Amino acid sequence: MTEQDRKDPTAADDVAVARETLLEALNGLGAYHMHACVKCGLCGETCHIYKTDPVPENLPGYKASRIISHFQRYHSLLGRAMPSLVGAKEFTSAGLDELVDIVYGRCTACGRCGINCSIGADIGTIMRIGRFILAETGRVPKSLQAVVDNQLNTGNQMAIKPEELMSTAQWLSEDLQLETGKPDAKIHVDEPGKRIVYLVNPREVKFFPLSLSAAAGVFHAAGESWTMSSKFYDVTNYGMYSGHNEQAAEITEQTIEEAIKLGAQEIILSECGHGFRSYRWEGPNWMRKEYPVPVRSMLDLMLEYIETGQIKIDKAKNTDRVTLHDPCNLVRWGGVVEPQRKILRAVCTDYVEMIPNREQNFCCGGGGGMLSMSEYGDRRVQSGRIKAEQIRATGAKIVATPCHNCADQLLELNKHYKLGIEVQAVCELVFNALADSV
Amino acid sequence: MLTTARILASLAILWMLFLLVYQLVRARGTGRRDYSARAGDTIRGMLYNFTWAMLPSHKETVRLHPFEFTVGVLMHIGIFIAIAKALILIIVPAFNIPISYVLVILLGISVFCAIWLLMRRIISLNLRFMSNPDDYVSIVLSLVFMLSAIAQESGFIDAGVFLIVSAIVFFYLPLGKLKHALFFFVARADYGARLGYRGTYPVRNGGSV
Repeated sequence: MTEQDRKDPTAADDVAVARETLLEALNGLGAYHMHACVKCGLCGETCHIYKTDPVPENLPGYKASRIISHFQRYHSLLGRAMPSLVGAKEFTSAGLDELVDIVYGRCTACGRCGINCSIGADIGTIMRIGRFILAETGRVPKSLQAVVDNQLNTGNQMAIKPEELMSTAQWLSEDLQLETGKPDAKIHVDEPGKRIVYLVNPREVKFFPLSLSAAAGVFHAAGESWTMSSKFYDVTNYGMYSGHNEQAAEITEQTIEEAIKLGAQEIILSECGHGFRSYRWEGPNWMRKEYPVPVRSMLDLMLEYIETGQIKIDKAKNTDRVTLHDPCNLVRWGGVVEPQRKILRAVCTDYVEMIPNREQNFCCGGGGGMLSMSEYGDRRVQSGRIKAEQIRATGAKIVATPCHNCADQLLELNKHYKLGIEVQAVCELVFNALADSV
Repeated sequence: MLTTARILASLAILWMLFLLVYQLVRARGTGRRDYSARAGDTIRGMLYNFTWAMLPSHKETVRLHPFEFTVGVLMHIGIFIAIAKALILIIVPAFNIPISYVLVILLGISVFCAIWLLMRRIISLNLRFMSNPDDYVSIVLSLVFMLSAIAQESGFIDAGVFLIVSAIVFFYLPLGKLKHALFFFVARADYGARLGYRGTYPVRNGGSV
């Protein structure tokens, strides 16, 4: 499909593309789950959006049923023969337009409903199929698509120019040298032949430089051989949020190729929930090929440094009460559950869990690309109330989260719900706890 | 009449099995190869999803809705009894179940549960909002199925009548939402395997620790 088709599709195009995409998405992925949902309605309280705005439109089962209705129409016997009996619906342009609010605006695809589904239906995946369909029919919200376009056109979501990155790396390096007293501590950029290529969230470069310099400090303390690329260093992939798999694949491929060109033996992903899921799990499937080198989270690497004694820790340097927010894409969808906990227990004197946590954590409200879609801003902050209440109940002063997307949302929740907290990446707490001898 | 009913019920079972398998094969499509490097164990993930993951300690929906969950389980027990009864009557029509009063009591409890679930779907705004006729038809069919099993067990109707009702249920099962009889297992296995592959399942500590 050409860009022109995407911008100005006819009704017939819409239906044909939607049907084709649905069929493609079903292969061994969503059909089992679409057949399984019985609409028992018990999933409501598992969803942060429904809990904060309990209208039927926000029930996960209802949201999924809107996509299942199309599946029924084209891929079930009764849906084809007697559509009204099973609520089967044809794709129409108007129907697809209506789906945008449900799929992008009322679901962060966090997957909590699926984990708790009485049947075991993967509702998050059904919702993602909705995003595939809307993306292919050109209905990605403009604000979200703009971020994807930035990544495709400039290599990073914030359209940061390489010279800007170089300049940031330079002043961060100078600060790091001053802070650590180590003249060789620096942010390495475009240095080929290093063991690790490190991917970061461009928001670290632009808004959270402490996180980048903390990671550099940890690498230096561990004696790590590492570098970043000045062109393709973005750990995020908004193609995953938009649902446009081809674009997501393109973003993944350019970054992996760059890392290989630099001679990486391993790619380390900075703290980013959806970035981890994108590169670690979805990327190879979007590209339909295996990576030539392993990909790991910075959390795994930091834990390795701590457990092997590669870095020395003095936890007395972090005495404030710390709690942890689990990013859905890292934990539920990513399987990285314990490393961050082990690290925080090792580097903080007062670590407490939020309840619920781990695979049962609630989405902060900023997932699914919500932060980039300003049209859903009020709903996003409202749905974050559950997270705000969880944080308040811990009495923590610092909320650690291994995700800059979640960090943005938590900062906004902090302001809106007057939580009085600091939000930090895990590596910042590790860096702060590095023993003086380092 | 019994012979005709047995033949009808048998044909309905064949139809049900054929359609369920057909839909399963179609749902699998060309399958999906996972190109990402495995981090966990798919079998353990699957087993977890059929065991601990269904307990109140690991599943919030069960913990928050113990009554609804219990009612649902009890209703399904009645359906399984009715199915077993139909199968026995098809295979060995003269088979006399010695503890029939126990079955009647169990089926009776299940019938009450089914009525409660039907009422819940009618009364609850949320459920009405997302329900379509099939959601009501499926539960009414299950209700009639269990009632006819009670009636036959108590001697009010012939085995033939019960088998004709069974045939209708078996005929409809793969078409509407009753097909979750198969896809419950398939979806749960698939989800468990995928989360097992990624290392999320099995959950070691539980999310509320």
